[in-house]
Amino acid sequence: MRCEVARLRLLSVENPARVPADVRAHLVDCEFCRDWHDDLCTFERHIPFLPVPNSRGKAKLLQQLLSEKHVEVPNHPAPEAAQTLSESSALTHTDHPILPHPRLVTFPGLMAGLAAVVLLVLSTWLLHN
Amino acid sequence: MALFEEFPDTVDEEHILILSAQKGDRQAFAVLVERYWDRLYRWLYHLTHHRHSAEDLAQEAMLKAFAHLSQFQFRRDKPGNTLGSAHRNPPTGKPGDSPSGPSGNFQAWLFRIAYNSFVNQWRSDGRARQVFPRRLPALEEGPVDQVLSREMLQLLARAVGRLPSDFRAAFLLRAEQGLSFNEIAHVLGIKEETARWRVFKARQKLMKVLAPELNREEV
Repeated sequence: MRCEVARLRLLSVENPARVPADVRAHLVDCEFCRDWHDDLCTFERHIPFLPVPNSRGKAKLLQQLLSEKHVEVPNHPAPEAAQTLSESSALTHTDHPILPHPRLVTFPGLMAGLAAVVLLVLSTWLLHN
Repeated sequence: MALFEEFPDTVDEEHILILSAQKGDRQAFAVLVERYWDRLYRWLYHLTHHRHSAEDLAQEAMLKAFAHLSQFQFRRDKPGNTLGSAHRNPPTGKPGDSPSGPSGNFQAWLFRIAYNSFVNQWRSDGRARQVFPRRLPALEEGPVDQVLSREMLQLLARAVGRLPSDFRAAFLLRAEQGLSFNEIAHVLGIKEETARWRVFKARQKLMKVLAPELNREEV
């Protein structure tokens, strides 16, 4: 087996650390390919240790998940993404029910309700007198 | 116990968690979040090169998964595994997407949801190139079997970050998440051979850039 063929085979296998039998025979004889294979495995083995900034998102999500009665699912895309999403035939964003917002009673709503009750009582009193 | 009676031969911890979460158990889904958040976030960070985008995408994917968990089905043809099926529409954002391909496990299903969100965001941003950050995050204490120097690890990070995003997504699913070509294909919505090709090209490019550096370092 030529070096080039052996290396192409190693690049295309699922796990380069598990050397196919025919390539193994070549590696035994070829020091250059053996070193090359070691490098490939070294790089691949170190991928899980690449630096990534710490995330605080998990704690936030867990808090949201465990504390709220209803979890708000981001089913409304940003306006600029809406067109792309609406083109999708298999999009299932509308499948799930729209979850109510936990804060159903707001201050302006409460004041409007009170005003309506006052008006109703007043008009009833005027009608009876 | 009812779960054990329901699926006597395919029960394991994750299976139980998913079944419980499907019945609305938030605690069970929280365990799944604990289990998969870091993996998902890491992958998305490597795709976006942006912490907040990666966090937002990961959160969106988790919430979509929770909302659509009833669509995740277990296969019963392979006793003892936790494989599920995404044959019934997962919450995707891909035009014409119908996941009729090979079944994946829960991780593959979750990653697929995240990838679709990433693609949507990428399109809405006008296919803006994810700029690789000038300053890389600080390296933490390495594992005992880490043989690469800190400088070499930084070079590796830069080389991976400069791979075309298609190659990078596939390669990281293989090298970091340990997914098979079949599962990678399912996550990215491509054919298995295409997944193999992308991983192959990514490795080839990395070796071309990094192998000379490693040999120089050894001298």
